[in-house]
Amino acid sequence: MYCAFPNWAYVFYLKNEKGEIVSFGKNFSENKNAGYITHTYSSFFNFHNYQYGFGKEDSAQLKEAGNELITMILKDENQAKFNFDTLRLYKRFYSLENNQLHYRDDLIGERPLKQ
Amino acid sequence: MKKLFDHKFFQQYTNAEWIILKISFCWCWVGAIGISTFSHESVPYPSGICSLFDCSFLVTWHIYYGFYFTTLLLALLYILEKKMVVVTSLMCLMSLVVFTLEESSGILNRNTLYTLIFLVQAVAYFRNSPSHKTERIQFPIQMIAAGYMLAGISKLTESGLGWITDAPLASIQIIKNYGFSYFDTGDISFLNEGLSKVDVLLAHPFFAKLLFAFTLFLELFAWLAVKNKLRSFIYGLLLTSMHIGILYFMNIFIEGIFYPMFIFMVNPFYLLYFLSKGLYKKSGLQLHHTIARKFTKQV
Repeated sequence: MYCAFPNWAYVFYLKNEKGEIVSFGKNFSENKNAGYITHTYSSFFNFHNYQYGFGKEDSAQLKEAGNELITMILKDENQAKFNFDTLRLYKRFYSLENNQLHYRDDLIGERPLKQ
Repeated sequence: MKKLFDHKFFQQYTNAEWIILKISFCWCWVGAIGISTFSHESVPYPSGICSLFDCSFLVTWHIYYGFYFTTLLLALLYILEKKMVVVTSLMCLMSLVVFTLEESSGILNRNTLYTLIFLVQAVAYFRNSPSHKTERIQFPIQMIAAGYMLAGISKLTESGLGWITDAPLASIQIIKNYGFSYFDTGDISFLNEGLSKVDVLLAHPFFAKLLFAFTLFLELFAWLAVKNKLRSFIYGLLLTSMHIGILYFMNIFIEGIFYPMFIFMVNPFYLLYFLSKGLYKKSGLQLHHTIARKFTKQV
């Protein structure tokens, strides 16, 4: 349950090399989903005592998190069944300004799958 | 109304009620253990007891199947009411280990309540007081109420009255949760649904503040639920309405908190059993009178 409503929230999602959405449900094991990635992202930053939130993470730490998350997503997955060559992990940062919803997408990790 | 509230349904916990409650609760617990056990393969972010020692040796399929077999066995013994002090203590320990392993994998499913409920039930059975049949249900209700109160207090300490005045900021969390569904399925209708809920919230800030004030009030005054069965039942229905509202507006459903609360405070399957029993008795009597009248006429 929430204790406060900060003016930020993150949603993580995947795209292929063509810029198309790669849905978690259709491509990965049942336990790997957008909610799981968000929880894992927070756990990563808390565990390393890194600051996060408001879209202001340190770029090196963000890259480290992105790399670890992609590794977790791909772990124990049968990559031969994928119909994409590259997996890109994005972080969508939502905020509220002047009573209007805004968002910004940042690429935080990329992994070529087929050499 | 007074006659309804004086009804025996609200006065005491029956054996049938306890059996139905146990089966419902075990069903949810076994499910939660199953999902938690098989949903992760590593513990990269140790938390709770896993921060005290290295738990990674427990993350193997052999141990997972061992956990699940033990869980099923404990659930069976719990339903059959065997060695309850030992069984509830082991159920508490099993919950503690499995849910801590899950949290250490980076996932937060908020299943801690199961651990605490078995702990207080173990205390109730250990005390073995004359009223232990009530305590095994009332202690968990007190624990559940304490959980809601702590949630309310943490809202006040974290954000003060901002919880109410900043209610429009909840729109960010709403779109986040609908965003999860969109990126999980690739179905854009989830995102559109989330945006329409956000529009409603931003267009009616007073309504939003009222709703969040209501949830804060419900959580802070959860202690009202513990005095007797009638209050637990009414408060359970109020909390259920809160969870339905959260699910409808925010697309959030916290199973690990809702199911124990709903089972211990409302006990829906016993309610259905009780109502159907009453209807059966009523219809059975009416049928009996009709047959008796017919028979009398014929004679």
